[in-house]
Amino acid sequence: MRVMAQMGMVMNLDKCIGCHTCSVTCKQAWTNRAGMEYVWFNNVETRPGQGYPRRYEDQDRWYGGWTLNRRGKLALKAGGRVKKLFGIFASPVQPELKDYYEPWTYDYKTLVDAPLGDDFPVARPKSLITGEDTKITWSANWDDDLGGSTEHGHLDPIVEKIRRESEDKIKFAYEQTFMFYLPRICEHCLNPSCMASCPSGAIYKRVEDGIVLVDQDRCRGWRQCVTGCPYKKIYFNHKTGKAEKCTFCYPRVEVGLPTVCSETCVGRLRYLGLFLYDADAVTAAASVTDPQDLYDAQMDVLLDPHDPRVQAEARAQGIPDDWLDAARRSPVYALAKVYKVALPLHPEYRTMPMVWYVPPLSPVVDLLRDQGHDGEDAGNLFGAIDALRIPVEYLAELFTAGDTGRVTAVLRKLAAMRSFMRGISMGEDPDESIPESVGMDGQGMYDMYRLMAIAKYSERYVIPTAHLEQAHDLEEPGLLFGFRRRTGHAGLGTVRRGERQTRPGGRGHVPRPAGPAELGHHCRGDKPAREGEPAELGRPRRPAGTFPGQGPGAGHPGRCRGPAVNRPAMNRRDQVVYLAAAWCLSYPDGQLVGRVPLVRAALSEFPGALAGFAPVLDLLEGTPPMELQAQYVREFDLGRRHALHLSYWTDGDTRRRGEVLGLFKEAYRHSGVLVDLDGELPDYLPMVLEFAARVDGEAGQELLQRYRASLEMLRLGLLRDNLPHARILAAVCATLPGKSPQDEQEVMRMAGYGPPTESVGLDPYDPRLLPVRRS
Amino acid sequence: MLGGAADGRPAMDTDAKMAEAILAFSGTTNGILSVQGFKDLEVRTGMKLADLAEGSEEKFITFAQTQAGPVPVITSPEWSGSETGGRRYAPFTINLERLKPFHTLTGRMHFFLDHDWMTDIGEGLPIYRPPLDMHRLFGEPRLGSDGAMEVTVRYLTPHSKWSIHSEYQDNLLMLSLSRGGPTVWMSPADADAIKVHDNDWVECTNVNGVLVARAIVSHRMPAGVVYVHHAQERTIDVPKSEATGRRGGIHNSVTRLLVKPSHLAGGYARLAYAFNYLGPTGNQRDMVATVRRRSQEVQY
Ligand code: SF4
Ligand code: SF4
Repeated sequence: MRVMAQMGMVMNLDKCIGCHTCSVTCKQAWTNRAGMEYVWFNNVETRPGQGYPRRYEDQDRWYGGWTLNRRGKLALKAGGRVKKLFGIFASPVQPELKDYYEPWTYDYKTLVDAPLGDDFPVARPKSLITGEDTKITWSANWDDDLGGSTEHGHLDPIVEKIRRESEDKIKFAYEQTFMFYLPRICEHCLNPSCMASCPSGAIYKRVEDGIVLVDQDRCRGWRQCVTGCPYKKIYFNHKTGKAEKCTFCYPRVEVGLPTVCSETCVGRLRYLGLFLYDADAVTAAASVTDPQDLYDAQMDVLLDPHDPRVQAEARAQGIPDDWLDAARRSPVYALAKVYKVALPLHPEYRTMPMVWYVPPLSPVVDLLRDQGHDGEDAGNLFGAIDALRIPVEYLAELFTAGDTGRVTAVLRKLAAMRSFMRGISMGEDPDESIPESVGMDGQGMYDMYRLMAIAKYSERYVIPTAHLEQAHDLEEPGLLFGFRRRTGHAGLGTVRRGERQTRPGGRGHVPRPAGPAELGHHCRGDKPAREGEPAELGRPRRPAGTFPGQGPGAGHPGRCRGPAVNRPAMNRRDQVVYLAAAWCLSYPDGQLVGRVPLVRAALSEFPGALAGFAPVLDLLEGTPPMELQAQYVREFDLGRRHALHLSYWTDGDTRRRGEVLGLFKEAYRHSGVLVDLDGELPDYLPMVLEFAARVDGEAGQELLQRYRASLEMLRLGLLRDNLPHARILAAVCATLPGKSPQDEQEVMRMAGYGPPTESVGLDPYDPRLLPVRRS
Repeated sequence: MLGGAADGRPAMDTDAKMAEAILAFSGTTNGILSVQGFKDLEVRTGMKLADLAEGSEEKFITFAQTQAGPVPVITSPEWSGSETGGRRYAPFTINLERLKPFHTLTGRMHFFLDHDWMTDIGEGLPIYRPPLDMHRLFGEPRLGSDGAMEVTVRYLTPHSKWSIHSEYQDNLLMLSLSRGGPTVWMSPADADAIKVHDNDWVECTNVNGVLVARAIVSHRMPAGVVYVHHAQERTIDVPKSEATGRRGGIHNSVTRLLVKPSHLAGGYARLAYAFNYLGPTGNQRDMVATVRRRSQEVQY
């Protein structure tokens, strides 16, 4: 037995309202870039429907996933190494743009530019591929809500199969309408066929949590993975020529935050947590002969985190205790293996997918209700599950390789829970016979109900943070904005918004007092330090021997992890200036104001350093907090005159911005830290400053210098509006090489740029964006 | 200060001060008023209510606070819900839990209107009324297909799952996740009758106006009805119509307000409590329109 940990997700389909919030937030976070226009790491498809890309489930056409060869051994459906070797230069079988969709934009500019005319102006569609006018004929979600079923409905591979094989034919008739939404991300499979398909070895499954990633440096753009993945959840970036895929939001998960799609899910239907599994058993389990046995095989691979033997083995494999604890509390383990209501999507592909689904009971309930029956009565529901063959067969094709028995068992459990709980909420005595009829007891059913219906955030997402006790470097809290993270709330961005929300009313929020004394402690030795000693700035104090995530009430650890940071390249004075500037330009909450004396003391150790900061420090100390915060929001958040985001000045809100922001993140990563931005953009000046002060002076200074023009523009803007912060900007600029320009024109000349204009998607005809053709 | 009527009163000469004044006058933002309002209500209703706002006397939400971030409001008699103790707002909580009379003449949840006119037209109680015969009333074409390439259907404008009235329907991401422009949902039967395929351009017309949109043909729609989702963006992909030569309209181009006699019942206490549909409902959605396949070469 070789115990490994795997992050997994469960989605409860009954709760999905098909709002696509998850798709949009995911796209905004990850794929809103040139070359990725057509890519949706998260998509939500209406079923019955073809999905995205069209008919991706048709493996006779796409050759995705695994199959058993004549000797009963697992083999890639698209062929093994030798076949690959000969085929490597030919384009592999993969969906073309017409199978995804030809991305478009609109001529939005006309809306403001059109000359006066008889009619109001409209923005017409333009292809993002050719730049020409276009007629929209397919999209990332064309058959939403069964739209176009008359023309396309029969093309759903599952509809096809059921029509072929079952005596009950699926008819697309008004009276028999059923539908549900299926949100999909990469499955982060235990046996990923994408990884096995890659000739360059660029795809890897992370040892610690099983997240499957593409190493962008090693990817050579062979696109074999696109063929290999049966879920078509790996995409080719036409601009970079490399493959990209869902990352399970690993930078968030590493610091204990849920993925973006989960966090933003309106239906709150996603669960995140750990599975422990036996890595030695995976291949055998994926190789069982009968596809309908794959579900059981997959279940057997999952280990019981309560079993002492498993725990001992896991410890021996170096899985930390807090991870084992998280595995025991894992909601995904509970839904998949304890209650057995979550099923894997298409187990017959033999990749052992790790995103699980609770199949929807609603198609059955809806049909019952539409026929005038009580859709919550256990007897009615059980009868309907048996009688309404079509939805059940359809679900079986999705989740159990066609085994209707298994789907029926899950649906009966859901039905039982529904009527059991209805009895309770109607004030009746719990009817134990209902849970018994599905092999459960009342308490178990109630617990399952709690988890599925009303579980809180912390129960839905049980995410252990990156291996703490191994990360000796965590002792060195070169924390990007980590100094804000000690209260154990969510990350910076949300804390800030959240605090603002509750602070004025004073309800439920206990502000943490943070005086200078608190700051003047070493973290490692916890020995008091001289107040104002620059090196101590920003070091959170913790009781000796505890690290974030371990102390009582500590929800999340620091924001970053990495090798011992703070390269000595920079002089101390610059460092203090940067850190002081970072604080003075941040949202002025109580904590920050409490630090003013410390900042003052630190700055006064360097001749002349305090002068530039004094007006703002005075302001911070002398203004009532509410006024201070309102002013901050007005000056820095609501308007753009004093945007604190460096690339705003150079790239504005154009599509280029995403790429540019990526460069910031890259710079952070290259310095060996994990940054959780959590709502803040990586080019946020205080963050960059803190990065320069606390993490990597050289890289930080380089970033600042690269965006020198933005700094100067910001400085001039502040100056123009008589804000004292201008002098802080001046102090920062003074640490950088070169003289500060006098006015905006000079800055523009210096930087050689004008106001930001959109360049993405407007170019005519970029050959790299053309659909890739099969030869 | 200028020697006028405003002398000696708080100045409201800037937008911020005006906002400040509004906040000061509402029980939801001024704790003193909230408590006071509940005390008055206790006298009027004889029920215990003031505890809902007690402890809020000190609270006063200023304009600066609303600028610094969203602020939860104070439970106040101006609304029927209670947020006391961190509860989520739900309507009529106070009426149900504290037995504060409903705002009707009887003080109960009340559906019966005993106005003579209402009795005469048989609408004393809420009742289903079939759609109007728009053909006889207004000379619109008869429902169904007339053999020509047109079909006359009921024209409904429900809210889509993505919107109440507006949801940035000009946003590229949302458009990429749908049909990318205005649409009309049609049943296969109606589409067949006029040889319309999914995604064909169609025009919906009646005496009120015209809408140009693309058809979504789905078995989810019953025959004889089309859906034109409420408030699709008129600035995105709306070509000129063949019917008028002008820009092809929005969902409401085809609808109009219809007044029926009961809307005019006045001087009647039960209907005099507040604005906004406390009385016979509006029926401007009771429309028929003729749908026609149009030339697929659209001009913008
Ligand atoms: S679902 Fe994800 S991990 Fe599985 S084969 Fe596809 S890309 Fe690879
Ligand atoms: S955000 Fe949640 S409810 Fe909305 S479509 Fe995505 S999974 Fe479904």
